Parts: sequence; C-alpha cells; structure tokens
Amino acid sequence: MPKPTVIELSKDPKSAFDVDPILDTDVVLPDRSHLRRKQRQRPYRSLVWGAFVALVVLVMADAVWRFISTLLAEAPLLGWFAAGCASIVALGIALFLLRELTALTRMRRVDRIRAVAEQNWELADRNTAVAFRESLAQFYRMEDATLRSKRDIEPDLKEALTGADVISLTEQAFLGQRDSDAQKILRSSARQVATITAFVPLALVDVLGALVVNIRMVRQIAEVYGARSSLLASVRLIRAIAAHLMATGALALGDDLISSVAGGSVLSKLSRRFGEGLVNGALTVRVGIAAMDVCRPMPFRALEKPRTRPEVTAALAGIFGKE
Amino acid sequence: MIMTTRDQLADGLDRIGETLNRVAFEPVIRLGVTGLSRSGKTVFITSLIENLRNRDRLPNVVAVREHRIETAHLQPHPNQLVPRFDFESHLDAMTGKDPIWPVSTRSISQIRLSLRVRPRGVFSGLRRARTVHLDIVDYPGEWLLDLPLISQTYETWSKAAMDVADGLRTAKAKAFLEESEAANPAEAYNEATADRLSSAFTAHLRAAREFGYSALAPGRFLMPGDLEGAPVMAFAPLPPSDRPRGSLAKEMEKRFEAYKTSVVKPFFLAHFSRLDRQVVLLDVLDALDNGPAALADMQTALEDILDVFRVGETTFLSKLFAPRIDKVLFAATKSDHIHHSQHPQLDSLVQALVRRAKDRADYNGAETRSMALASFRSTSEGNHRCGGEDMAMVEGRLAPKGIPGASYPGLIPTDPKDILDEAHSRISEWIDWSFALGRFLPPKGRDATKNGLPHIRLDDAVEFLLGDKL
Repeated sequence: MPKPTVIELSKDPKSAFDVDPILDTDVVLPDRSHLRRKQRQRPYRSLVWGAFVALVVLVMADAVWRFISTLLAEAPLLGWFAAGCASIVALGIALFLLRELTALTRMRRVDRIRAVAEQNWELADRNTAVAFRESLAQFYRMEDATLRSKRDIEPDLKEALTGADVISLTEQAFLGQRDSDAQKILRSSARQVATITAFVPLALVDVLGALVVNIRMVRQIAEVYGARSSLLASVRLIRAIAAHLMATGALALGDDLISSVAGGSVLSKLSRRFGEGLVNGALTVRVGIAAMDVCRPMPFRALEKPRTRPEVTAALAGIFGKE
Repeated sequence: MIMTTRDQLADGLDRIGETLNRVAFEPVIRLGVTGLSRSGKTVFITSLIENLRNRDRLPNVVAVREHRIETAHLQPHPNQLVPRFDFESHLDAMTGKDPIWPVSTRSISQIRLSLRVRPRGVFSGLRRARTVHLDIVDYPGEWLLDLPLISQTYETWSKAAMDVADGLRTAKAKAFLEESEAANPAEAYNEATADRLSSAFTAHLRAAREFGYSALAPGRFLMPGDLEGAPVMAFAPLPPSDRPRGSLAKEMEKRFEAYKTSVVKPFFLAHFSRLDRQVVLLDVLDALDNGPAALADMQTALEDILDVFRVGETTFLSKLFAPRIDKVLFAATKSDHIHHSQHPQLDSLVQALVRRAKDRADYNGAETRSMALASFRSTSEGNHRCGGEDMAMVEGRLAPKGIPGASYPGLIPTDPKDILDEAHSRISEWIDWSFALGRFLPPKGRDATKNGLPHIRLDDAVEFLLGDKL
C-alpha cells in the first residue's frame, strides 16, 4: 500500500469553485415545480371573496327565512312544509360540505405522504423509510376492508437492509395491485373513447362522450389510490392533471403515435373516423397516466410507470386487431 | 435531576409564551451547531448561511429545487444578550484575496436567518409565502462535556478526573498530580495553594487537549469564554478526604457547586434545552491523523456528549412544554481532504463512532443521520504519478503558504470495527496502515456564474435538518 504523501504541483490546480460537485447517486428526481402555479401576492383577494360569499349566503338565508315566515302567517300548513324542505336542504348542504372537507383533508394527506416520498431514498436511512411505510399503511387502513385485503400485502421488512430497499418493498406491497387496477380502468376508458369517436356519427356528441369518459376515468383512478370522490377534489385533480399534461407536452401528438398503434394498417387510412378514434384513445391513455402520476402517493420507483405506446396498443388491440 | 421544580416552572412559563408566539406568528427553527474545537463549526455556519442566501449550489434541497424559497436574509436576533455570529468577517476571511480559514469559536454566538418560503400542498394556491426563521446557535462542544457534571458531586467528579490524569502520561498531568499530592485537602484554605492547584489542573487539561484528547470536563477550562480568571473557574480535583469548614477541600467543593449552578445550568436552560435540530461536527480525519488514542478519546467524548441530548419526538403536547431535539446529524467534516472514493469508508466510521448515541436517539424517537461532509470544499481531485504509482489525489492550496499541491492521505480501512478495535488498544500508531492528512487552505477564484460556496453534501445536510420545515 502506498504511503501517505504530499507533493507540490508546478501549476495551479483547478479551483474548487469551478469543479463539478460530488454527487452520491445519479438519481435525478422529477422536477415537479411546474405543478405549482407561480404565486401572485394578493392578500386582499381572499378577503374580497370571503366577504362576497358571506353576502350571498346572507341574502339567500334571509330570503328563505322571510319566505317561510310569511308563508307560515298566511298558510300554516304550506309554511311548515316549506320549513321542512328548507331544513332538509340545509342538512344536505351541511353533509355535502362535510364530505368535501374530508375528501380535501384526505388529499392533503396524500400530498404530505407524497412530499416525504419524493426525497432521495438512496441517501435516506432505514428508519425514515420504515416511518414512511407506516404512514402509507395508516393511510390505506381507512379504506374499505374488502378492497384493502385484495390490494395490500404486508411487506416483510426483515430482508430489507437499506432505506431504498424498504421503499421498494413498500411500493410493491401497497401499490402493485392498485397500479394494475388503475391500468385496467385506463385501458377500458381508452377503448370506450376510441369506440365512441369511431362510431358515434354526430359531431360534438362524441366529444362530449369522450369528456365524460375521461372525467369518470380520472375519478376512478383517484379512488383506486385512496382518494374520496368529491366536487372540489375532482376539480383540483383535473386541474393538476391538465397542468401535468401541458408541462410534459403530452398533448402534442404526432402521426408517430397513430403509426405505433395502427402500424400503417389500412384501417386508419381507409377511414378518417377510425384514425380519430385512435388519436382520442391515445389521448385518453395519456390523461390516465397523468392521473396515475398525480394521484399516486409516491413516485414510481421499483414498479414501472406505464408507458403510452404499449398501453395504447393493449387498450385498442381488441378493436383494431393485433398486428 | 437536571432541573429543580422551580427551574422547571419558570422555564415552562417562559416556553409557553415562546411557543404561542411560534405557533401564532412565524415558525422558528433552532439549529444547534456544535463540535469539539477545530471541528469546523464556524466554516459550517458561514457556508450554510452563504449557500442559503445564494442557492445555486443546493440541488438536493427539495424546497430549493422546487424554487419555493423566495429570499433569505440575515436579521437582528431577538435575544440581545448573546453575541452575534460574525458571519461577514468569517466570509471575508474565507473568500478574500488571500483566503484563510476563520478563527475558531471561543464562546456561544447566534444568528438569525429569515427565509421566505412558499408553501406546498393542496392549499398552496390559497396561501401566501410564509416566513421561517432559522436561528443558528453556535457553541463549543466542550461546554456539552459539562452537562454530565450536573448530576455529579464534587467527590465523584474528583475521583474520575484524577483517574484520567493518572492514565495520561503527559508532563503536565504528572506535574498536576504531584501538586495535588503535595497539597493537604483538609488544611485551611489559602488562595495561593488553590491558585497553584487550579492552574496546574487547567494546564494539564489544555496539554491533554493539545495531545488530542477530548473527553475532558469541565469544558469551560478549555473554552473559558468570558469567565476567564473568575474564582468559579479556579478549582481542581483533590484526593478524597474530610472536608471541614474553611478547608481547602471545602472551598474547592463550593467552587465546583458554583460552577454547576451558575455556569452549566444557565447554558443548559437558556440554550441547549431549547434546540430543535442539532448538528454535531466531528473532525474524524484529524483524529485518524493523530493516531488510535486520539480516536478512542474522541469516541469517549462523543458518548459523554450524546448521553445528555434531550432527544425525542416532538408531539403536540410536548411541543407546548418542552421543545426537544428531534433530528441529530453527525457529520465528519473536512471530507474534501480525502478523495471522494474514500467517503463511504469515512461515513461508516462515523456511523460506528456514534452507534451507541444513535441507538439511544432512535429509541427516543429522534431521527439521526451521519455523513461525510465538507462545508466549504477546498480541493479538486486529480490523478498524479507518485513513486511509480498512479494515485487518486486531492489538489489545492497547501497550508500554510498556499502553494499549489496534491495530497494522498492513505486509505481508510473498509471495516470501521478494525479501526475502532485498534483505537481501543490505545497504541501509538495504526498497525498495518497509515494515514496522514495534507492540509489545504480555502480555494481562490470565486466565480461569477454560480453563487454560493462549493461544498460536499451540505445540501443533503440541509435537507435532512430543515427539509420538513421548508
């Protein structure tokens, strides 16, 4: 073994300011900053909105109150009926708000879990990883029991020595079945969209149909990953997916995709409608993959992220025939 | 028991006010930075602040990668009684025309860096950027060595200190032992004897420190801060004896108790027990360079230090009453002085050194990590032919003059157990390997394109320590 030495150099070595940093792994995490809108500073906005909403609610409540009280004075029977209706509506609204709120908190929880999951696991230690596994298990414990037993396997962590191993096992245990469920939904939706576009003769109706199928798919996928369906949550989800699609440029579809599926088959050349069906089906697949990306409580690591081409091929093979 | 009931009550009230302030207004993260002297605390803090102000070199910090940190600036610290960490002059020293390492920490100091951070998550769109204050508290690791004293009596401490002096074979240790044997503990106290004894004891501690020993209490004797020369700093261990009123031993005991109540306790209550996160910097490479005994001693010191850490998970209730350290980072500094292919070995050596402390911290729910770090990277890497062999070396400006040079410090064995076994046998040289560090000065040529200071894994350290709060 050579002895420790110090030598003098004839010329100046490179300054540490100019050399590349020492990196431990070449794992490059996806930059998700595009998912967050650039924030504008408008502190007064929420105040104005809050005041506006309060005003509207006040006006409505007042109107209902006056209506019922006049009705009670003039025709007591009708008045009591109206009061009953009003309280049922009020109860309904309260329940709706409660549901929205729980759905939102649940989503927020996924966000928190996800934030932890996005760290560089090659560097993290085992305890952090085990803690993460716990939080994920806790999250899915609230799901319907039958669904859970179908989808979760308790991973055996004895074999896993490093944080990265634990994370891989966790992903396989909790997300393996969910991924394939989501994939099934994605394929069947793509098939539906392609069929609708190809066979519904009316313009605009097919667009509407595709839209409905897409929205349904996104909600189903979100539910597979443990989100609760709710209005606000869906809106937010669809917005996130749209942003994701824009950022990844997934919407810029070219002929290459059509050829990848139809493979120069005569079919798409014969009929323009079939070609359109293909493109729309492929788009649905992209939307679905984006939905998986956004809803999944952790990024794809050990499990493979579904890719567009194979998915499109698998989804549409039934309709257009295998090459 | 470290705190009496009254202490606890006063402290608790104080904390409730402080916590309400934190929860209601702006979160404060208190980051304690410590390490034995020359472990690189000052450089760590300076580089941390500079790199948080100019965030070009922190790719592994998630908040930086997501561009969520809007600004970072230094602010006057609300606590007016503690000296401010002199960031500007340290940075000037390190990046000036003739860069040198800054002078070392003598006492406690703190500084506040305020970050404007945009939140993440579902409601991020609805919320404005918030301010997070990062209070960095820099204190000598020697002071931590004092914390175990709180639970010791003069008698037990004397015995332990005499044993250490006995085990050491330095000239100063011998001189002190002769001095203490000559003194009669039961005789009437006179200032001359007390002074002779305590200065011999202090000299012995300093000599031992120079020799590379670190497990030495009382720590203020090594790092007196502003108490230099006060009677509370002038005591020494004595052989066991009766301690009649007015005797030398009685006076020494009084001073020892005074040291506990007026030096150690205030530090513990006002600073140490309020930290949220802690970095312990270790100059492992220097200990390897100094030989097995120095490394063994570093391990002992570490274990003493870490026993006192009030680590544990911060839950909602405990947050209101006693903020505790919930993350501890052990970092081997100056790892730019070895080739990066050696970093895994260095890292596993640190892990082995802090194992016991880590187990304890894990048990209490605190998260710990260890890494090989360079707060301010001073070298680049390159291969050179040397003695007929092509060797992977680090290059830079050699201390003390700054002439260009390259160093090959030797290879660290892959199994840390081998190293520690050798260390415990306290032999004077490593058995079948050798290690000698070439020392480098900070690099010149700060470039204009990329801001911040070059480093190794400082961003991983920041992510571990602060990532969840940003």
